[in-house]
Amino acid sequence: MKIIDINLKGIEADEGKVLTNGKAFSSVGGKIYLGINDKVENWEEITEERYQEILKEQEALNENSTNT
Amino acid sequence: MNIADKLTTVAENVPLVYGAGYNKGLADGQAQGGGNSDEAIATLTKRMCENTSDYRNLFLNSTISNDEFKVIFKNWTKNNLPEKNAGSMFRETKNLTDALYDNSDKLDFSGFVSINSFFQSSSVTKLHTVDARTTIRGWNGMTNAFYGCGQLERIEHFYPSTTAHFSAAFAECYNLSHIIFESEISTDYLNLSYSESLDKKSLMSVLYQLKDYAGTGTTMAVSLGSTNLAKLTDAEKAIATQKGWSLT
Repeated sequence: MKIIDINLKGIEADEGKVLTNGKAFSSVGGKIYLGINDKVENWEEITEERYQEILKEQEALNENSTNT
Repeated sequence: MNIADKLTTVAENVPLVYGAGYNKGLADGQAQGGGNSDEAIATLTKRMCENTSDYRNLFLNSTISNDEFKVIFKNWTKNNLPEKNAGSMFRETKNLTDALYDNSDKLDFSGFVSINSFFQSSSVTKLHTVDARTTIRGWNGMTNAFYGCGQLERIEHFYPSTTAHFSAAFAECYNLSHIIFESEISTDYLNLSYSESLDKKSLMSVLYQLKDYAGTGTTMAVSLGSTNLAKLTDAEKAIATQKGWSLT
């Protein structure tokens, strides 16, 4: 048996900002509900413009990987 | 050149054939009255399986139909070649819709190292069972598998890879409303945030199938998007967070 604390710990991005841990992203102005191993310090806030740039970079990376 | 010779030529050049080769080989074969399309495709697939383990781009941008797709699958699952790569195999196909749905057929990726971009930007609408548990390449094995499938609505049973990342596997699947995860989700980058109409049963299947990383120090994240998160209670979100997964 283990005790479960369902009090969620979360962070919310400012308006027009996105939270990321380098792998996952929040919605614009959205929330992150932290897993029990996770810390607020693992997440940083970036602008929506930077988020779009990262998506394009990832898209290009993924496109290259499909040919291997 | 008769249909058998043409298909042999096609099969021998599988890595270079792609969709155009398939379409030309099939059209040439039929034009010569050398056999119907089912026979031609069955032969092509059989020889394809005998000659190569590299299926990349094989039917890329082709006009392959649902019925032709079924014929291929009846043949390709019978071979046991190792290290099969099905990257972009049916990418950008225009006429595939609900093949392998009505008959509860299983899209079995046993032994494939990669299914990246398998259906990317295709017209597929419904799939019954997709089993990718043994898709083994870690860094890009499922990348873009269903990327941009804007007409994809349902996958009744989905068994994710135990090692390959999900990277963009379901990106831009705007109409995906139902996908039931039937086995453990242990890898990163699952992003279902583009599919805002996902039903509650689908979302709960994700939460229940997340591997328990509690106490391991491992931080994982799964992205459902704000619209889908709003469908869940705090207690339901805690199913994920208590197992070490952050929800975005």
